[in-house]
Amino acid sequence: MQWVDTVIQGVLLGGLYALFATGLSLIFGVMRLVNIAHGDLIVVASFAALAVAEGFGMHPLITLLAVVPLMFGLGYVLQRGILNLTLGKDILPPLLVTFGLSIIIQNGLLEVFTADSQKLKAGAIETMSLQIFGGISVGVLPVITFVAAVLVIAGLQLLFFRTMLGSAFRATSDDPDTARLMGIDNRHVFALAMAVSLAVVALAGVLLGVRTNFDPSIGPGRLLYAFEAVIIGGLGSLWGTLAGGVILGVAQSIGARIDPGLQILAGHIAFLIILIVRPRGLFPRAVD
Amino acid sequence: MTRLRQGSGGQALLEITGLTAFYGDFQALFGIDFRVEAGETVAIIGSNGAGKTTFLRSITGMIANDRDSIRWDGAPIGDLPANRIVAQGIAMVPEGRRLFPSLTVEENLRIGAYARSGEWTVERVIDLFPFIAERRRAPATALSGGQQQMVAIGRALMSNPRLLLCDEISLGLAPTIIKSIYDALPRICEGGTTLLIVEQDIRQAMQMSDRVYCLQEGRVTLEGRPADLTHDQIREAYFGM
Repeated sequence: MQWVDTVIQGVLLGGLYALFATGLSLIFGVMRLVNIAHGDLIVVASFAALAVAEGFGMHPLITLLAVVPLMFGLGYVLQRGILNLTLGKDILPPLLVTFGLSIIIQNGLLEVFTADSQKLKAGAIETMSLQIFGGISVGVLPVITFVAAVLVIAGLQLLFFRTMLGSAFRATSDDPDTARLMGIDNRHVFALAMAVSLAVVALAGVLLGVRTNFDPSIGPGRLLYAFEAVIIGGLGSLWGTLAGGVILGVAQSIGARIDPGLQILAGHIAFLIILIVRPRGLFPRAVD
Repeated sequence: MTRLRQGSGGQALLEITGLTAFYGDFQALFGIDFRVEAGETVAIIGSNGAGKTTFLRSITGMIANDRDSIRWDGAPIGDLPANRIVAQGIAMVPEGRRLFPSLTVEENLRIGAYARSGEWTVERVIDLFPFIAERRRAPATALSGGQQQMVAIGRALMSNPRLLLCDEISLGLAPTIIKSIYDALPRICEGGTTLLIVEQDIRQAMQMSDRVYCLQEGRVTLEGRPADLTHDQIREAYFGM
């Protein structure tokens, strides 16, 4: 029963990793851009929530009403103002620019918020739990996180496959030149994709901040988990990204059960094994 | 076939004067003068590398040009980016079809109406190319070359263009397929759409156009009504000998 418990906790943890990874997966799918600053943007969202929560005395989960639109707007401006200029045949410029952004963000946060470890205080909900079966109990917050991840991915799936904007995302990803012949403004479509990506990042950042401590230096670590989840799931597949997050979460949770020191390592080992067995991930997109 | 024709003194639908185009240091077009009247079908012929595709890319805004070198309905559009051209009523069937592989057949059609729509609907395109009815949900890549070409034409029509540019729509297709595609074109014109086709097959171009332009090395070497042109004139214009 202990192992069942371990796996369940791992699945729920995987929801958070899936949220980390979804935005990364989305923009890679639309514009082949690998955003090295993705993890730091998650931390930006956590600090933004902290500032709003403390400034207005709000519950951290309520700050989402401000942080999500804020990050959406930041994503649009970031893409339109900077990252669009880096896109082209060469894949190196976006990597370099987002790497630079990552450093700027970390140091900016250090200036404003200091290196102190912070946490979003959500009160009773942090420790509430539900009894499920066989004496296993799950935390309310992890359940909320997992459900949020599923809803976000289902919502994005609808956006991509049921709306004109979704068709425009996919068409631009397939063939940017022909997309322009259809009247699609690539710069605007890319900016919207980054905006949606950072809206998801906002949710991930707030849930991260409620779950654990954060400080300006933890971004790259979150990026690593996000990367691993995306690669395990297969590039460009959103449901694959959820599966990747869950596999990472379960591996870490099993590792931690064996020995608390093994948690992080177990996740990386699971990632490496899948990379060896299925180099293109579990659910790669049929069309590349 | 009856055609609407404006008086020769009237304003052309598309009027191009002294158009030049460059790829870096390489000059591809050297002062092209060109006009299309509303209701006409105009064909452009020329060998590989004559500048036909470059010329269409200039009209569609894929290559930036001087603002005044291209006039559409009297208004200068030479400097508009590609994504704003289709809203003006100029749609392109690109060489090689270029359907979107991630989209279904129907999604490929619908994306054609992203920036502009009108009388042409998915149902009307199906009316023109009935096979689409059964393949609406198929991925675009599952279709044969000829079927893809028809969807590409339908996709361009979805923006309800006043001018439809067709770049080598017969390339790589079997003769019977080419015939069924060309047979559909008059029905497109009936809706008031003007056609500008680029065609390697000179006979096909002559047969279906009201006027033909021949390009050679980035210059117009011949222009006229098919009936008025002799074989020798065309050979001279096409090959330069």
